[in-house]
Amino acid sequence: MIRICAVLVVLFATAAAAQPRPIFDPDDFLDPRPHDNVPVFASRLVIGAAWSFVDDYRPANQDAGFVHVTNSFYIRRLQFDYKHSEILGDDPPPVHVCACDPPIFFPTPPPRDATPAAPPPGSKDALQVAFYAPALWGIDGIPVMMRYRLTWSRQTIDTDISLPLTNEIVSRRSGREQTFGLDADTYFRFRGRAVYGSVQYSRNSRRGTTDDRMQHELVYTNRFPGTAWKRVLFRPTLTLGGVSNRGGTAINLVSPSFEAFLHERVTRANFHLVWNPQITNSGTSGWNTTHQVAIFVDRKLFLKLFRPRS
Amino acid sequence: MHIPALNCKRLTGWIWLACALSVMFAGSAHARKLEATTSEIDIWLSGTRCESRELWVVIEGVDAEEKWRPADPARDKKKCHWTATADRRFNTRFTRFSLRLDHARTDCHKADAVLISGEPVAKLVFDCCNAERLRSIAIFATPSMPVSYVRDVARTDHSQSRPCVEFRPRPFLSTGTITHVQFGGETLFLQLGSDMMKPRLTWLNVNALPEVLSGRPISLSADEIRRRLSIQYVRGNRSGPSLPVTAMDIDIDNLKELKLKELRVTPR
Repeated sequence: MIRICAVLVVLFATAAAAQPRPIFDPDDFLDPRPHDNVPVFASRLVIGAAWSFVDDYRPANQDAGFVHVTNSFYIRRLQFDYKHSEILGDDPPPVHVCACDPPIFFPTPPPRDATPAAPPPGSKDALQVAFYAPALWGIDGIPVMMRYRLTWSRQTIDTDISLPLTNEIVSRRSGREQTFGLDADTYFRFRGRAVYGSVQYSRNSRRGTTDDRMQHELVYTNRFPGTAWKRVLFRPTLTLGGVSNRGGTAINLVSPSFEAFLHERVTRANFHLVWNPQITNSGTSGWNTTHQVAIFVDRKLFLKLFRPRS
Repeated sequence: MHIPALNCKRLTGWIWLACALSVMFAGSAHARKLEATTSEIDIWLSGTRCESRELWVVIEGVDAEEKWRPADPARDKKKCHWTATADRRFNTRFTRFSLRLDHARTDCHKADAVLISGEPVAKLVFDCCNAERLRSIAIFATPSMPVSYVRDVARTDHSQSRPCVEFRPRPFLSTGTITHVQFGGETLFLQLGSDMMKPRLTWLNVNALPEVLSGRPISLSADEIRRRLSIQYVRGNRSGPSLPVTAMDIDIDNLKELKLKELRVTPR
């Protein structure tokens, strides 16, 4: 009962809670039971590229490279993360403003009922706190371990605004995009089969730019059991949900994902290939599909288990 | 004599509350079954396969043959009726029991407390039994290291059946045999290298080794164990299906530390 209350308090008190995991962010779930709740520190480097890159359900309309560093500290049932990403891509076109009142910016930001533009390539930082708890049922057997995670991420967006003819910079805007999110694992049984997934709620706000937007996301990701072929592992997921402030229907996001994973024994690197056809609906353009494909490699930089000396 | 007037209207709310609490308390007291602390066990088996030459009782999941309690045919000489005595007293409400027969094992049950000749006894009723072939799983690890196991036993439709975890308190040293295994009713996990048994820990899932399920022996190198563990993660093993890179790295480091050359699993 106390656990239920704690989860509900977290859910309602935050009322804002996990940016959807970027496509290149490796799964850092670590069940605390196998290593006896011993503190663990893990640092990891991820390098790769994505075709038709999508940032938080907003197509970037370009390909992008990325470098991603994660630092995770696990202690008892808690996990703390600091993650830094560098998204490498084409700079956005220069923003011009007309000498009119109210000012009109070019290129014109997408209308309010359209899918917002993705933030420009740049660096993003994220802090996460997660709590592991066994599922509240099946206590007599070995219970399923669940994770509940809060995420706060931030990206600064600086924009130079110039006059259209002279390109003279008339103002500089120092904006930012922030995301608060909660990601809660779910587990239930349906016709005798275990169904694993997670519910994510997040609030993403962009301020101080020429295209200030806010969106709320409430999505459910179903994690189907994966399979293996020789040394390659395959994992499918399906995300369904709604993203606010883009018009269209309440359920306006369907996002299956197929990941192939290979661990290379000599270098101890993990190779990932992800195909993520993301189907979204907006008031202006209806249903659209963006085929995001990412290929990346991750490797631990540092891994330490702080075992007590015996 | 002045008798103070009782203002029933003001007390109406309290009276209703008292009535409601009384009903709830009475209902809860009625619903609560008899429980007892005892060491005596009365076992009834039903079903076409209930007969066995010998019968042992596993109490509280302690699955070491030297800890099993032998059962004796009951004095009434009725078929499939046994009695046993635990080595210590237990509470019928919290304790779980399973049986080992010649040809099968059972799921875990909670006992009902009954009075026999005025003495409290834990009464167990089992539907007997799972018709699946009974196996023994021989384990051999090279080099010498502690090997232990956990059996996650699923509940059945029987009203007394409960899910439970059975385990070996003291690990084998390198070699040992796990007896009375029926993969259809339980999930068997092996643990390597730890002197301490961890009943809440799952590691290498023997049920996920198709060779063993089909009765063939298998020899696993450290790298092969790592690969099998990765497959367990992606299929979901007491957590959602995932590709947990940190957990996989820890597995590799642990296997390296153990210097495991070979783990042989032989079903019989």
